[in-house]
Amino acid sequence: MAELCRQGIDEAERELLRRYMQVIYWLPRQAFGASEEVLSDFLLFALEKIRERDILSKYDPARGANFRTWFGVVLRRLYLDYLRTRAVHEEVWVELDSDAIPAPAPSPPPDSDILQRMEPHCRVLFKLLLCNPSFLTEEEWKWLASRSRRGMLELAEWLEKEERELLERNAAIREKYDRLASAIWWKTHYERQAQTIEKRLARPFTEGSRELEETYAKLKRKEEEYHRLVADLAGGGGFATTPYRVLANLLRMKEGTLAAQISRCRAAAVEILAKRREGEG
Amino acid sequence: MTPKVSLEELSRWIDGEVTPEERMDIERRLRACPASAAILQRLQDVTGRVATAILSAPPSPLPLEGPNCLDESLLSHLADGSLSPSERERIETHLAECRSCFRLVFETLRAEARLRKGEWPDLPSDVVASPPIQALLHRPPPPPQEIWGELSLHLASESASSRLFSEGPCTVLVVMRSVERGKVRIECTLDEEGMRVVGRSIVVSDDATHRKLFSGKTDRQGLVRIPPLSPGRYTLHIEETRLKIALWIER
Repeated sequence: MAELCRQGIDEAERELLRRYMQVIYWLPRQAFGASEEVLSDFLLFALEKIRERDILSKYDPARGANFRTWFGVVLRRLYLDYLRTRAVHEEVWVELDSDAIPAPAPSPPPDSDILQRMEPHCRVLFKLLLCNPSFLTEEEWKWLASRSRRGMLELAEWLEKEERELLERNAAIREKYDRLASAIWWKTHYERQAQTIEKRLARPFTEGSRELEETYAKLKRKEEEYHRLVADLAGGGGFATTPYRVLANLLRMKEGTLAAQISRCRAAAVEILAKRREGEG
Repeated sequence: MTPKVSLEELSRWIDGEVTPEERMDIERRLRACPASAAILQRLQDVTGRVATAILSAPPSPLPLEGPNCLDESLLSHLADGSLSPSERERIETHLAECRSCFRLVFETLRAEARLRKGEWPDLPSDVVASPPIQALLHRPPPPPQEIWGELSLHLASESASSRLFSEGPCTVLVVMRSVERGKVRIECTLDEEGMRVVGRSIVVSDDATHRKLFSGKTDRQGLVRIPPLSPGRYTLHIEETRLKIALWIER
């Protein structure tokens, strides 16, 4: 069927899309934990782009890639394009309006100064110990690759495997992380939407306050959900940590050495917090 | 005198890295030593705060890929676990320099693991039957004579980006020459069977407005200089060929 698509047989392409529509529809949820609110919208987006760019004809079996895996990679890229397209669309008004009042900068997350003042190796250890690796920044990944004397690809494979095994042991935690990712996406979406409407309202004779109120109401609900999920995950409600032996293996150090480092990083964090309180007092 | 509980013991206890016997011993000593119990409380408190701070600063969105980034076939082999040694080496070299591909590789591995595991639920019946979906399925594809290429350019890129496209004997080299005042200068060079093509038209249109922005012919060096373009989506059409290039310029 894929070969027929390469030859430009339109009916073959249509049939292939029908067969794979289930995959296209559910992929954002299965692969990225997206909420069901975006699935229909993404399906429309993906079908449009697949036909517009004649994507199926680009599959080349001579390159050795299995069609299903290749199509999965294509769909994932389309999903990321979809997310970027939505962000750009919401920012169009902001860019076009040169007289716009600049939006206030978002306030930093609570206790972010503790993270900022930590030594880099402590930040990385805490992120790997307490959360999943997707919270590492690009600089922290590079530090980890250098410290563990592993290539970046090897590191990505290693961490993905450990994260998967960890989350398989606790499916409830994975579901919480998925819901957190979805809440973050929708929170950002409503923040942008509110910003866009506010700038539009700065112009004379423009209606939109009801739209703004509704957007703020949705934003508030998402923020509450987001803070609940963060508190739940951080507060130890079934929160899984990475075993020391796994981290020690990753960093190519003895477990005892790792344990000592983690305890020193905790003590350093307590000191940072104490200094902050002294400064406030 | 009951020994205090050491910092390392407290840290291990918080992370669940103690045996049942060690746990009992530590808890017995904690009951007997209020000072150690107070330190434990502070350590637990800061652990919760650090976890909250990390979770409250979600990772930045996936950066855009450059024109020389990993293609679908390579990522498919990665997802399948069927990379050859030379492909692995190629990816390792590229990942050392490319932030967006590193995140993409990690997300691809994660997504693939989840996709393999999950069973696909049935499609909601109203989705398949919906008029927009049916219209898209039955929309005629682009004319078969068109061959599409894609190129993404970043204003923030510190090095010149380029990509080579081909259609039959004709090759087109698209080069991002410079960035000036938020606009990109691009040059296209056409070759056919090893010789520069003179007098061939290249048309640039804006995808948002569908208006033609520029039309120029290749000079004696087979070169066309396109006027500076702002961030946006454009289509480059090389006339007398089937080649069209979807150009995306990002900040």
